[in-house]
Amino acid sequence: MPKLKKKKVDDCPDTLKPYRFHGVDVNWDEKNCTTECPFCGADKFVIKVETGQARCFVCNVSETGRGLNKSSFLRKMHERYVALNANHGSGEFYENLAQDRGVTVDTLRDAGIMWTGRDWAVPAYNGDGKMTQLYRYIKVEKKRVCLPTPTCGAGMFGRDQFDPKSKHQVIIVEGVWDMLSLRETIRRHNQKFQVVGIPGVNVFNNYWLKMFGGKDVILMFDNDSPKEHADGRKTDKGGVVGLRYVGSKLKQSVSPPKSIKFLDWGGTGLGYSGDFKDGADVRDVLTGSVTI
Amino acid sequence: MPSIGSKGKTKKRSSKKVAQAPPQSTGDDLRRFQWLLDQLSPLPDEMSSDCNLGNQDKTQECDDYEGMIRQWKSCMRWRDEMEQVLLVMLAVIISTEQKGDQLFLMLLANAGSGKTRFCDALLTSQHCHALEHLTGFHSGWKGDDGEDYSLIARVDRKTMITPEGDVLISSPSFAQVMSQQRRIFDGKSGASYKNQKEDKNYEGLRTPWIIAGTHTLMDSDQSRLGDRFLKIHMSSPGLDEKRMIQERVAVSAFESVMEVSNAQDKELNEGKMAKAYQMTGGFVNFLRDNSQTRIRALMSINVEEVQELCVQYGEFAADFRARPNLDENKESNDTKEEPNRLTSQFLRLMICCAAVRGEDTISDFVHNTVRKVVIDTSKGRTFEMATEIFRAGELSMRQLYVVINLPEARIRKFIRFLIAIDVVRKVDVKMRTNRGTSRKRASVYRLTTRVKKLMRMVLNEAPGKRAH
Repeated sequence: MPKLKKKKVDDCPDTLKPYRFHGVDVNWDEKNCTTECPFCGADKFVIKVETGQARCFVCNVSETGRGLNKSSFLRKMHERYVALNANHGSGEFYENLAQDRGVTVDTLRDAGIMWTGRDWAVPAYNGDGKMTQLYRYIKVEKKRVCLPTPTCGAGMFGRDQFDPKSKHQVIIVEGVWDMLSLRETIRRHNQKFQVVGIPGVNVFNNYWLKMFGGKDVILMFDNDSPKEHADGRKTDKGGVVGLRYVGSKLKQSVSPPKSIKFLDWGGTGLGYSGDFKDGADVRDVLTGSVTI
Repeated sequence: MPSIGSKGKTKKRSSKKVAQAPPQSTGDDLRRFQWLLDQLSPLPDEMSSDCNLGNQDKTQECDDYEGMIRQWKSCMRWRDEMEQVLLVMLAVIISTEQKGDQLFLMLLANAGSGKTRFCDALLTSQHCHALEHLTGFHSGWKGDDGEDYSLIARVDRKTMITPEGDVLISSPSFAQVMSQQRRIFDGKSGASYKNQKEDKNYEGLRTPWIIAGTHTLMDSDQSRLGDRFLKIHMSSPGLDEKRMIQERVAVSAFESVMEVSNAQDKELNEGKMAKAYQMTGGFVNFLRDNSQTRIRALMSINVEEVQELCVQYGEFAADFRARPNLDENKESNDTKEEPNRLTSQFLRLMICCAAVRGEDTISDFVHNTVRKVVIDTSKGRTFEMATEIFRAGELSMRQLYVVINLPEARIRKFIRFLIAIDVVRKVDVKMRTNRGTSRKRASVYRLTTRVKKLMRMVLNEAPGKRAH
């Protein structure tokens, strides 16, 4: 048995980072990392350092019958979390999160948000609706953030329930919580809209553009006031930057949307207003945190 | 970072606060949602002009067909045939998203004829995709984001253009590419990989394809495999015309060499040519945005007449696109395709050509253009033989050996093939000898009545008179 060199965490190869991010213990030599399988527990889970492909020689967990890559690993991990939370498991945690985020437990479960035992796994999808990213909603220095699995790219929230053939208007919001809050309201009151969430205002994959061709699109981003500099200059940030970035991408695409509207906070035409708190978002409006 | 635990079980952690039910809906959220909708405004242009997707727009707005042609005339030695070629290429583009059989086009012309210029002009539009050095339409590769990197996913709803088709046919994967395109023509495509559980299948594809090249492209005989391509030839100009073109090219070259090239983008320094490119790209954008309106303007045409004409065109091209299997060991031999696909393509082409020109009837120019495509699509040895027989009225085997530039054995094989597909019939005629006494029998070959009628209609010529 070759002796494994224990390297510093900082030197972790990119190919192993997705596994490490989801709790797999990664100690590696030049070629392989052999560790405990996160699915069956056997010490026969081998990850090739060069390619990032993984295989368990005991349970042979796989989508294709030939091991896992980072995308299929995420999907299998999510399946495992779904199984662990089946039959309304982890109910207490769901109720706390639902209370905190202003949505119902059913909404969280329906969106595939799963308790992992230490934090929350939030799935995100590529332009074709396939899960290719699994965020972890964790506490980082007194606040909770959604961290992406490294090297797996950006994913869109809610794409799994998006119907490309539907003629309903499409609302694009920022983040998973705004998306869930809006989706819950829309479904509760049978409104004819679809909603998806992008992971950040500066993140919009070109492959997502085809989803919106010929549709009426609404951009509902946060009310972010510009940053004021000492010399009096103002720099747009947050939601306004997102409007420019996403709006221009949509308009310039080969199949542009039929129309693009935006949430004009306060009717100023600027995309933000001082009448509302800085950083106010769609969820704040729907839950009543912002007075309208 | 702690591991998940043995055998994949999660470790239970106790929650710090008592769970409370989320707020019940009181209808207030609907009111708030409505408030959000009331705050909506159209996104202004100044808010959506920052980002560059990477494809800089090289087009200029243009919705006038005649204006675009005038611009081309101002920078090239123009012939009517060139307008026909450009018209057909634009017709392929406007047909992209219309239902029905797609239009695949091969543009054949000698080197230096201007075909690459047309292709490059069309490629200034984002609705066209340059297809060069192609290895295949499918890829099993998955990127970091799990997206489908197959070419076929990227070119859907665009017109593929290959400016140098000769490079394509010399590629080792040419046969594979052509077999894939036959299925893509039907709007479907699929791939199975031995290292993937799921097959990739695409449906509803709209990917018309224009390949430009020299006549070497005709050497790739696809007739037996179901050729999907219509063809149009750009013939070489006459000698005087050639001299005038060369003089014009020389003037242009002199002007160009006097200026420094813009190395950032390989652009032409001749302003008129650049403008012609931009206007063509802009006109392509206009056609794609208004295809429905332009095509529907032709709803009042005499449909039966056009349909009857295209049925005959389809039959004509099916007859002459057929080729015998020259390998005698092969089982498949004397067959020809059914004319249905060709009929559909010719009718589509006719309508789309008229739509490009903004007409509400089928003009003579469009009729002549489509007739040219029919003839060019049919060109080849089969057509050459039949045309010689048509013009002569009848020909004996000896006469065929003289007029057709092929070995005798090949000519005999072609004639047998033409008889088998009911294009030619063998007739024994009685001949008087010079002395006028005894009679001698000879075999001659004539076109069948059906084909003669078709040729008269398509070639617009009267058949030759028989010697007997």
